[in-house]
Amino acid sequence: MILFVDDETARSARWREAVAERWTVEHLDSVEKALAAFGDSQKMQEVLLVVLDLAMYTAPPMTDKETDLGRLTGDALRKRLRASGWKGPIIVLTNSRDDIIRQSVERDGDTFTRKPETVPSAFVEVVRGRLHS
Amino acid sequence: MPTLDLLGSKKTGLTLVLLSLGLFGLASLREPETVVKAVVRRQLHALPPYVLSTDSDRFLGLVLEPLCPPPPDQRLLRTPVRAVASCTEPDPTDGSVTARLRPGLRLHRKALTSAEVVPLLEAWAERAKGIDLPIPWETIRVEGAASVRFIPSRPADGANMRLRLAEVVIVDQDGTCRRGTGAWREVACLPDGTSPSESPHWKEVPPALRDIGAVTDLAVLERRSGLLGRKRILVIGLDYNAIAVEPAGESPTDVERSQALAGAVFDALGATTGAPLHLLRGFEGDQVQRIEALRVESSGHTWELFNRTGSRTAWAVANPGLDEVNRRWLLNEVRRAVNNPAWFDGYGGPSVRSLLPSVYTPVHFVPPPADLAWPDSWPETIPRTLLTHTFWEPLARRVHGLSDLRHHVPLQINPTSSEATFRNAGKYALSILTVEALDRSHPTRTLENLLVWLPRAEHKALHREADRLMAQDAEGQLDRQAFERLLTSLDAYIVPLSSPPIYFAVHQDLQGWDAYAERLDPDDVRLRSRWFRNAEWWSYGLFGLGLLALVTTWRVRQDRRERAAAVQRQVDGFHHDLTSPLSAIRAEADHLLTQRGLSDPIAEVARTVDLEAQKAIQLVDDMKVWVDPNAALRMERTLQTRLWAQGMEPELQHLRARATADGVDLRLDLPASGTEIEAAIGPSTCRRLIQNLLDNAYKFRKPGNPVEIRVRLNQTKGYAVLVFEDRGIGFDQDRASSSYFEGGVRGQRALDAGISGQGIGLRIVKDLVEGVGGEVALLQSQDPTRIEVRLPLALPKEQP
Repeated sequence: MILFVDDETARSARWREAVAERWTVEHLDSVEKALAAFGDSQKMQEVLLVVLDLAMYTAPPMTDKETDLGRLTGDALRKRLRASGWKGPIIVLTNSRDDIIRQSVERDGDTFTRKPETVPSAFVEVVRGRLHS
Repeated sequence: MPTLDLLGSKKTGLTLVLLSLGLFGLASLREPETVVKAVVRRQLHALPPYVLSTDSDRFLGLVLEPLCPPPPDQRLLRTPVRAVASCTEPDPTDGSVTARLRPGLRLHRKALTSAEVVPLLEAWAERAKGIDLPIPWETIRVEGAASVRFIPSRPADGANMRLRLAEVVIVDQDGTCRRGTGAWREVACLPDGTSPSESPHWKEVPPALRDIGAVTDLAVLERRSGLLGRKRILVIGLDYNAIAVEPAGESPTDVERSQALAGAVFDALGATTGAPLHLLRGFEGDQVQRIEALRVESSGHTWELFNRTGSRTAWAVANPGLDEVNRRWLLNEVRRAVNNPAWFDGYGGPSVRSLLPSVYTPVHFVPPPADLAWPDSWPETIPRTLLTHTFWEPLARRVHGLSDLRHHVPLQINPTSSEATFRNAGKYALSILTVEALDRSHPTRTLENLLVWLPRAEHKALHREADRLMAQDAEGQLDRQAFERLLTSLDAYIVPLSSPPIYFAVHQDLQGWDAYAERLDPDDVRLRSRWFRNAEWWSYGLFGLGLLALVTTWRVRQDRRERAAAVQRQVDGFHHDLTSPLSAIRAEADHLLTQRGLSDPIAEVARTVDLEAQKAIQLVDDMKVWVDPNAALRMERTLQTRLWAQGMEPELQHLRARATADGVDLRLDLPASGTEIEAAIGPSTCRRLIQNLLDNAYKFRKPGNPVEIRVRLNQTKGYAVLVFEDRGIGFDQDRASSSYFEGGVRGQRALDAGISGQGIGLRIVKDLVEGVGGEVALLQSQDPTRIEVRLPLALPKEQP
């Protein structure tokens, strides 16, 4: 199963659909749902890969400081997920072109890719690459 | 017009200037860490003379350093100090010694070569001649840039010369002060004939010492400490003979003067808790007892007493084998020489009769020295010689010249080794020797040394008594009267020639004071600092203003940073909100294009939508740079990107897709495979500028012609150089090429060709390139149009 965390449900639909043609996808459209899923260890054992949007609304228990007023919510979620001990691959899929976040994500061994440059058909290849690496 | 945040750079510069001014003010106002050292008694000059006595010059190693370390079998100092040069053993053929100057040797701040050292050594020799000190060498030769060879007059004198070279210093006069090779320098010295009260450092002398009128000299040594710190030693010379005459017309006696000086010293000691007096040296007799009492009375125990240790005291010893008449004549002549009041000035000691520490009852030599006749008889077995070794030659000559010894007892100066042979065989009438105080605490150790010259077999009673007293001393029950009697009995054999152990008092918080060697450790002089001691009200005001300016600047910058962060968040928000739907449009087009059985017209529409969305996304990305280039480039300077043909592939794919859609013949000539350069620029920024330049080359193509774009990559000094060439319509030749990089400028050729645009593409490229420290220039406006981008090279990655 692939967890797809993105609060822009309609605009991210094509990426999810492209991935869903090959893998089971569960869409989580809020930070609360994402944190609930990350806290469910039994569920996370079945998760093959997590896709995270970067800019999302902040919700408790996360703070604006942690997410830089929502600009980096996806990165904050990624760090929490890593801190929980989950070892699977993570892809940050975003509209942002922030090289600093890219560097931080890639330094941790995760993938950073931009929606404007990675259309859904190309994204499927990115997912496949991570799952088979 | 939006610009790079140059204002921010100016603010940073202003902050640094203010900070520097503040630190400069601090450094100027700050009182250096200071040790005040008072040299009591008859040391008229605060600083030691040019010719060093290694026993008494406790500043050795601070300003002045010995030319050579002492020979391996000689230890002139308990704590060795760094020498100017490493020196060889004497050459067996000619006795010469080669001194190799240490690397980086400087006289104050000037680097010294061997050729420059020679004149300084010759100047030292001239001064030595002036005080009848023999010159160790006959010839000096320069050997290369860092070596000097000393040649004695006779090969046999090599060993002695090697020893004497440890007494030589490289020193130069700098006004009233001297310049030496040590880390410390003399920064204030009192010119001859000047009253100490005229010195700017006069106010730093403890008032009790100032008022007595006994201060004869003031000097300041200083060295840097850390970035802004300084350490200082204020040296005060004191002499009781300088004490004012009171009452008028009546000269006080030596005793009265001595007591007056001691009283002032005690006042200074008692008043200096928390004040900068930290070290007093030169006490003897009842002064020591009074300081001891003061220390005991003081609940704080702020002072400690030490005696001078590790020093050698010179003694004239009559051969114990002579009968009493002969010995009496010899010792009497010695006393006549040394009882001259000026005698001890040359040796840093006082002109007192008793030279053993009078904590214990002083030894009373026979005063005044009688004018005795030369004895009628002299035993044939004992030569009539004054024997000593070369180290004590000057002292022996002085004693010899000041007495009738010169008429009856010839001098015999031997090298150290052979002198011992003569002395052990008893082949001398009078011998000048030294005794080393091996124990820091008690004069009975001195006694133990003195008895070395009196054979135990022939002086059983003396030795037995000495053993008894030393055993008592070890148990802390010394019979002082018996000890006095024993010392008195030595008068028949021994006369002291130079200073005995001298006591000194040290403030307990003094660091860097090596009590064992009685010298300041140059690297560890650390005391309480007294900040802003000399500051006046305007200094505090200036400092306050500087502080206020710093705080204000900090607040302004903080506010500016917060506002910049808010602007950046807003820009990021707009960027996201604009990019998000455009990405979604691309996703929809991609969705259509991946459907099976899609008709060609629909597929064509989908591709066009995708391309137009890409253009719009590029424009939105450009707008972000346009609005806030610093935000876009923040931290990008720390990133790096590999420049190579394959790295440009995403941008090239995009260009090929456009060319296909437009039906244009696109011909690309890219850098050869294998050409790879790491540049100091973030990958997104790099992609953005390559995309813009390729887009420019494609957009301003000649209608109906193939689009030929050539990209070249090479490396020059410190830069990766990308050159973009195309054979499009080019730039207007009658305009300055730099104007195209200003933004909002559209060329006439572009307008004539009807190519739409805003004229911001090259401006974006300029901002991005200059933002990472690079340069961009239009090298050629047409056929081909050539634009050069220079990007700083990335720093080499650290090896794991």
